[in-house]
Parts: sequence; C-alpha cells; structure tokens
Amino acid sequence: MNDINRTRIKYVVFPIIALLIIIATSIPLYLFFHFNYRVYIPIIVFMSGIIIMFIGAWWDFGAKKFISDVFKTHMELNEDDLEYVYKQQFIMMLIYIGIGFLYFLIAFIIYLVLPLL
Amino acid sequence: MLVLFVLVILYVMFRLLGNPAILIFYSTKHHTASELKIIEAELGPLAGPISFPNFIYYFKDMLTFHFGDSLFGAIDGHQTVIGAIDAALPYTLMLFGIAAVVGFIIGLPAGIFTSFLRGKKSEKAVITAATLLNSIPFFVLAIIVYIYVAGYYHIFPLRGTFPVTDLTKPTIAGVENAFYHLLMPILVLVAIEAMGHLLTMRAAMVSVLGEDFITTARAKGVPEKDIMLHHAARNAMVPVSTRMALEFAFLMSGAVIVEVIFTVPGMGTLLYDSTIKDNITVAEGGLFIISLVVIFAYSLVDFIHAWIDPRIKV
Amino acid sequence: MIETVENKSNIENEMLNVKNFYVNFETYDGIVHALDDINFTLKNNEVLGILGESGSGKTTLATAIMGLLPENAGVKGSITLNGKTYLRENDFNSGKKLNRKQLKILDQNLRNIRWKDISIVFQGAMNSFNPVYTIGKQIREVYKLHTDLSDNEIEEKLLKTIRYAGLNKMVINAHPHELSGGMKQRAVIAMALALDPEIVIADEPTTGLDVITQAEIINQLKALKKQGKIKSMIIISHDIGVISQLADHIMVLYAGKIMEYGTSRDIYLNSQNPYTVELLKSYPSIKNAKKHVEGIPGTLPDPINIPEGCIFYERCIYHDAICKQKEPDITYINNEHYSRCYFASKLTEKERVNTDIDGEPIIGTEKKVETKDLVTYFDLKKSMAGSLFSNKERVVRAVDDINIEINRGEILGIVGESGSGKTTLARTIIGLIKPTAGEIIYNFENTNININKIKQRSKEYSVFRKNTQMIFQDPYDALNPKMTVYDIVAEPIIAHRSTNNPGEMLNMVKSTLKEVNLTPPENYLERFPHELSGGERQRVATARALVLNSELIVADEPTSMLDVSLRAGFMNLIKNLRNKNNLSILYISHDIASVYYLSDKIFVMYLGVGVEYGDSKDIVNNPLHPYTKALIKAVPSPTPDWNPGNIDIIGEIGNSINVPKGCRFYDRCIYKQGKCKNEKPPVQKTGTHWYLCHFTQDELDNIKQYMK
Repeated sequence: MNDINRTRIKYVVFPIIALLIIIATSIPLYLFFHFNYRVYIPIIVFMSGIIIMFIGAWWDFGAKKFISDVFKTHMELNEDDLEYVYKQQFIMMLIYIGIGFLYFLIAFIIYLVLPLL
Repeated sequence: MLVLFVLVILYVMFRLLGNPAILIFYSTKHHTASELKIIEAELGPLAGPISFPNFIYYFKDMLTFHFGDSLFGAIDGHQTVIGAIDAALPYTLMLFGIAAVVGFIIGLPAGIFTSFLRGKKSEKAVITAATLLNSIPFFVLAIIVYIYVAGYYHIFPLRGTFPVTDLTKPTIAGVENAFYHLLMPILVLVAIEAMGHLLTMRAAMVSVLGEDFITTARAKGVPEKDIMLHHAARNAMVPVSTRMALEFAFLMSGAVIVEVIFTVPGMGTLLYDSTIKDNITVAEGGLFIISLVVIFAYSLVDFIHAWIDPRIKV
Repeated sequence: MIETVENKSNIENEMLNVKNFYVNFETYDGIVHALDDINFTLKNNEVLGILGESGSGKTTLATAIMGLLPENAGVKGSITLNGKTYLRENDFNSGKKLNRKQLKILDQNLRNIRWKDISIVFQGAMNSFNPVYTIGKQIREVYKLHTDLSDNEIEEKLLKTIRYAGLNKMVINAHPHELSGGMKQRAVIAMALALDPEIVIADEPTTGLDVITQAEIINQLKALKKQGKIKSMIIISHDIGVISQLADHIMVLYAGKIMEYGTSRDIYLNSQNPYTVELLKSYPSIKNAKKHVEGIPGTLPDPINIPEGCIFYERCIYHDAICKQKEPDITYINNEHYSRCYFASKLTEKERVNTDIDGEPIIGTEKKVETKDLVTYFDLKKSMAGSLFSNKERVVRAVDDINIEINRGEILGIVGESGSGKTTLARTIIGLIKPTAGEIIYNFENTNININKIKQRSKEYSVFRKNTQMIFQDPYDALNPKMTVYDIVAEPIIAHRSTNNPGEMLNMVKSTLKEVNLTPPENYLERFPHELSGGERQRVATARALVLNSELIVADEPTSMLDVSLRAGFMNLIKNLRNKNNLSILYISHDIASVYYLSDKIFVMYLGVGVEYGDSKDIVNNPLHPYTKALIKAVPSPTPDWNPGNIDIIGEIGNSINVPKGCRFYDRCIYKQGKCKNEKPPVQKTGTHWYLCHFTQDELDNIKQYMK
C-alpha cells in the first residue's frame, strides 16, 4: 500500500468510527429500555450519512492550512501543484460521499435484517 | 448536498412535533381509529408515523416536490401544496430578485461615492442615515411606509394582491399593474439592503484607499475617478461579495415579512397563514422551496467571487 | 553684468526649487509640525540624498513634492519645477477652502506633473502594485494616461523599460504576488522610469530587502544614472550607506528641520552639525573595524509642542545656555554647505561620558552550548493534510548538519540572508522547535544537559528553561499590551518559582531594569508597553530575558526594528551586560556590520548549512567562502568612496527544498565547477577558521583569473 492510500484511510477512519459509535451506543438502550431500535436507528444512521456527505463536500481536508504552510516556508507552488490539490480534494469528497452511501446501506440492513434475527 | 442537509433539518424539526396525523386526529371531533387511518391516508407518506420507510418516502417525495395536500382545504383554489406554492412563488421571486439586484446596484456605487466624501460633514450625514436605516427591522419600516403611503395618502394600494398572470404572462398593462402593487415592498427591502451594502463598501473602500498601491496610482497621475473605480473598487468588492451571500438569507426573511404586511399573496403570506393554522404540509413545502432559492443564490455568489480576485484561487 | 549671467545660468540649471516650505497636519491632538522651513534646490542631473530617522519628515517631503499630501495638511511656501511654481501657499486648505473649479485646475496641473516630470519609487515595493492587476497592465496604464502612443508603441516601450530595470519580459504577465521582493522593487523602478521623468524620487528604495539584493538595486540605480535614464534624483533613506552610494548632495533632516546641507564629502568628512556627527558615529561599519559606536540617547521632540530653542537641545552634548532660548539660524560654512547650529565650524570632538563599555570580556573555555550535527527539517508530508496534498518532496532543510559551540562569556554572531535558516537554528537551540536529528548539549549550573534525553517534567528541563532566554525581533509584538512592565519582567520569576516573596520579586525586577538602563525603575514599573518607545520596549524585553540570571541569551535581530540612533545604544547595552554578567549570547542578524561590532565569533549560514566560521576579525577582513565574500562586499559602507563593483554572486537566495545535491551554494556561485554539483564540499580549515568549499583560496583565484 502506498503512502497516499494510507493517508486516505486515516481520513476515512473518523466517519467509520462515528458510525460504529452510533450503532453501538444505542444497543444498551435497546436491550434494557423501551427503545424501538428498528424504528429510530436506521433514520439516525441515514441522516448521519447525509451529514457525512455534507462534511465531505464542504470540508477542505486541511488544504487551506497546507497551502498557507507552503507559503510560510517559502516553498514554490505552481499551477500543477494546485491542480493536484484540487484533484485530491475531489477524490476525498467522492470517498466521503461513498461513506455516506455506506451509511445508507447500513441503515437499510439494520431495518431489513433486524426483524429476521 | 446543502439541499439534503436542509431536508434532514426540516425532518427533525417537524417530527419533533410528533406524528402530524395524531395531532390532527386529536383536533377532530370523532376520535375513532378509522378516522386516524383516513387522516394518515390524506396526508400521504409525508406525515405518517416515524419509521424508516416513512423517512425514505419523505426524502423521495420532497425531492420530487410531492408535498401532499393542504390540510385545511384549498388555498386560493389550490388543493395541493405544490399548486399553492406554484401560485405564490412568482411574487416572492420577483420581490426577492428585484430587491437583491437593485439593492446591489444602488448600494455599491453609493458606497464608493460615500468614500469620495471622506472627512466632510455630508459623509457623516450619509453614514448616520445608512446606519439608522440598516438597523431598523424590516417590519418596522414596512409598517411605517404602509401606514403613511398607503393608509394616509393612498398613493399606493392598501392591498398588494394582483393576478399572478401579470408576472407569469406579462403584458404591458400587467407589468404596470404588478409594478404599482409591488413598488412599496420592493422599496422597503431595497432601502435596508442597499444601506447595508453601502456601509460595507465604504468600510472596504476606506481600508483599501489606505494601501500603498493607491498612493502609487495617485503618484502615477491616475485621475481620482479612475483610482476609485479601477484600483480601489475592485479590491473593495471582495469583502462585499462575501457579505452578499449572508445578505441573501437576511433578505429572504425580510421579503417574507414585508409580504405579510403589504398583503402580497407570495410565499411569505402562504407560510404565515399555514403556520398560524398548523397547516404543516404547506409549511414544510414552503420552507423547503425558500431554502432552495437561497441555496441557488449562494452558489451564484461563488462565481462572482472568483472573477473579482485572482488570488482567491489559492 | 557678470553676476546676472551667473544668476541666469543658475536658474536654467534649476530643476526643482523648494522655498520656505512648511507642512502642518491638523489632528485631534493638535497641530503636528511635520516640515519646518525647508529650502533647497535640485539642479539638473543632480542626486540629492535626504537622510533622517523615522519621524524626521522625510516621507512627508516626498509626498509634498508629488502634491500628494492628505487633506488635513496645511502648506506654506512654494515648490517650483523648471521655473514653474506648481504648488504654493493656500493651494491646500490652509484655512481657506477652494471652490470646485479651482480644485479641478490644481488637480489637473498636478496630474500632468506627476510621473511625467516627477516619478516616485515608494517605500515597501511589496505594496506598491495593485494585487488584482498584472505588472504589465499597471505600467501600460502610465503610458495610456500621459501619452498618445498606439498599443504597439506602448508594448515596445514597455519591453524596453522592463529591460532597463534588469528584468525579463515574463514579468509583464505576472501578478504582483508571484514575484520576489527584489523583482518587485525592480518592477517599481521600471514603472518609475517609464516616461523618462525629469526627477525620480526614491523613498527608502532598499528597505526590507536583503543585503545582496540591496547592493544589486543600488548598482542598477547607479548604472541607470550613468546611462542618463535617470536625470535628477532625490533619494530618501535612513541608511547612510545607501545614500552615500548615490547622492551628490546630502540634506540631513531632524524633526522636520534641515540640520545640515552640503556635498556628500562635506557631510561625511567635515560635518558641522552635532546631530550629523552623532548620527554618523552610531553606524557600525566594516571599515571602522571594531571602533566604539555611540548611540544618541533620548527621543525626538514632540511634533505637536515643539520646544523653544534648538530642537536637538536635549540630546545634544555640545549644548549651551543659548541653545535653550533661541533657535539657531543657518550658518554657512561654505557656498554649498550650511548647518543649523550655533557652534557650526567650531565643533570640537567631544566624547559622551559614562557610556563606556565596562570592563573586558572574560571568555571562558567551558562550552555553554554545543550542537552536534544538528538537523531541523520541516516536513510538510508528515502532517495528514500535507501527505494528501503534496505530490512531491516538501521538506525544508532549515537547519542541516550544524556544529556550533558557544563558550562562557562569548558572543557568537550568526549571519545570513533571510531564508538561510538562522531563526530556525536559534529556535531549535532555545528548545522552541524539536530537532529532527543531532544533539544539543548544554552546560548550565555545572550539569550537562542533553536536550534529547531530558523529559518535560524533569529537574534538568527546568534548569535548561531557566537558563535559556530569548530576545525577539519585534519589540511591538513581543510584549503583551495588557501587562505592565512589572508584570512582564516578573513573569519568568513566577513561572520558574524562583521566589514567592513579593518584596524580593520587586527587588529583582528593579535591579534588572536598572541593569538595562531604564532608570529610575520606579517610573517604569506601572507603565504599559504602548507608553514606551521602541528602544525602551526592547530594553524591557531584554530585562525579561535577564531577570533569572540566565546563562545563555539568544537575540534574534533585536535591533532591526529600532531607529539608527538607538541601535548603537542597544548594542552597547548587550556588550555591557555580557561583560558584567559573563553571559553567553547568540546574536542573529542579517546586518554583518553590527554582528562584526558585537560578536567574538561569526558563523555564516546559507540555506541551512554553515559555510564559514571563525573569529569575527578574520571573517570580515579575510573572508574565504565565496558567499561570505559577496555578503561583505555588498554592505554599503558610509563613505563616499566605496564601490561595490561586481559583487560576484548570481541571483537571489533559493529555497531550502530542492537544494543542490553537492554544494548548497552551487546555483549562485561564480566559481562553480563540475564537481561542485554532485559532490558535497569538504571543510577547509586553518586554525579555528574554517569554510565549506571544494577549493583552496589559490584555486579560487585561479578560477577567477581563468574566467577573465
């Protein structure tokens, strides 16, 4: 695995952990209290998916800070480098949207599979 | 993306009220189970019980503009929510669009002009007036204007209602009629909007005029007029165009309020009525459409921004 | 008969005549007297230098000549260009308002003069260009405004002027933020020369540039003057070296008044005004060896309430009773030389008392700090965003393999252009930045401390922190504006829990303030930084560094923000403190003359590596590395005879990312050979003096001969 993929995975870790937390923290509620897991959790997960997509579209993944660092250290930054930054940003955005879809999928799975258990 | 985000917020907001069908159910005279079923059927998936399929249906329906029926009978002859919005939206778009453009056209040059007056007494007068106007809430100014211009002197009509065809299928007489009815609300919006632009533009101009390159331009013998228009104004536009995006949301809320006061049958009146009457479906659809308009206006600003300042790319 | 002929030729020869010129600014606090009774003439083909510290009114004079005074300015007197008076009393609002039409005519007149007859190079080229337009567009604008040339002709002329200023034509389509400082300054000069103006005013044309770039700009201006591209010129600067290079006549301004006027030779060698004499004495120079320099204590008089009598009275060592009562008139020494002083032509050398350096330095043999192969890299790829967005290496080799040592009581000076990594080295040594590799070993309170091995909470760490203190470059930013002087100086005491006794703390603060010559200390304790002058602030910052009796002080360009007359005083203070307390000091500056004055050893840095090290006398008098040679050659010396000629260096300092594989200096070296490119140069050593190069001095000389 090369460098850049490793970094991308680092960025992906955060939303995945968020997903696991959402799913896991409500399990005790479901087990010990009156909480309709099947009704609420898919909706919450689905909404979170949308929010993750939203973050992916609006967050610059630290590009601004990176560019200001580049300027601060008097490094050169030409058009190609900027292109590259934009491209990487776009790829990250697509990845986040993909994760959003993963949320949707999980939501459907919870809704459809839970009654079978 | 922003659209989906708005949908999530709307869902959470309206669902915190509980199941709308049940709310309505309790307000009816006959509390029977069959009655509840009937109401739910009438509301469609928009207002069913909270469940995952319902949520998905909600998304689908919202994105395809199926907002369901109005809860309490037809509004101006429109049974469906989308029909009512369809009838009201042109008024609001007209009001909002004209006010935004005219406010911009008046506010920016006025701001530049005010920066010409540096240090004079007239500058203080302009700034005081602009600050006063800018800080008056829309409804206060609207009511004052309404009482004087329409109520006491009858220069403009008391009721802002006019046929929507004047806007959708314009004829000369129709546009004239629309103009006659809409002038007052537009003026109120423009007055406040333009003053905001004026103040921001002036502040930006003053800070740009202090920069060294302006002195250089002056030393180059560039006429004062050109310095203002070419060298300073373009640099000063950057903060103004940033502010413009924020201003849209503010202006939209203003348009909604002003419509109610001048009884223009636009989105504002529609929203106001539906909120008063707990007409949830109409409120939901109306809010969604207004958000769409503002989001669209936002994205326009980004394009303007990139054109003004080449450094923005970085 | 003869007299009239002479008069006439004089008038014909006159380019610019400023007569009985006064400028006042109306402010809320009162009337600021910016310029007071200015009289001078600028002849054809003459270069006039205006010398003055900040607050002397020199920039106001430049803007007044351009007719660019702000609206709250009141003007008396007149300015005449080529026999035509274009600016006279009442033109600006001195009481009487002009009507619209008059204003328009005045504006029209001034606009025709601006740039076509008089053009100006403003201070700070960084901001002289409009950031949203290209350089080409802004120069073209000048032609479009003042000439009727067609587009093609303009294009041709544009290319020509750009070339005159030593730029290549790529610049035309560049936006200002894409150019380096030196290139921008050249572009500004190109723009100033675009219309072949009669007079060019250069207001601090080299401030903010590196020494080498500065020397190149001066050379360029000189060449342009020689070619006749620049006809007459007024050069304004606080730096006597810069002025001496270009000016025929020099005018010394102090608090808005002309103190002295004369040919540059007269001013330098036969100065007849106490202010000029003192000012000249406060410049450390390479030529004057380590001769004692002396600052001028005190500050400029308040421009709102100018005191009776001589304006320099309070700071003057020659002053007499009469100076306090009545302002001195101008005394002519000869035809072209006058001075505003009662004692002009009677000045006798007089040394200030009580500011002598106390005692001799005792340089010990124990090392206070030693770095072993110290390396500090900034790797942008290390951060998450960095590794995502960089498609290539993004490592700044700020400090690369540095070995230095500072003995007890020694001052080590580090010299280099900006971007050479000196500040990073200082911050690494003080522990503000973690080194990437290598070791720093301190010896404080008789314990050896290795920075890599100590932990944040250990006792050694607090000893290390207590004994290393820093004085920052900008005295305006380094002091918290919300704290009093007492709080600022007492802060390290509290942080290190040196004492809990308030009385003792107060005594410590007082004695430290006394040590940095802020006397009496009681007057300063309760004041806030904004109530102090720049020199006083820097002294407070120094007091803060000294209050714990630290053994190592790092001073990062402490004098660069101070006025010339205060610099010398501050440098003497540092010397004094060193001698008294046996401090070890790491002194960083881009100004090789001040480093030479202050330090015992000099370390020259270039792109993160040390290229030369040795005794300061050795380094300055016998530089061995090509870079050091260029640096020393580039320093303008305050004598009119200095000629840098060729400074033997190519281009501007690069960046520390794509450093050459072999010798770091490869890209700029004029001696470079094939093997320099790929092989790392060895250290050539004679005694304690070493330099980093493939060649011995004889070999370098041979290469130079061969090139010719």
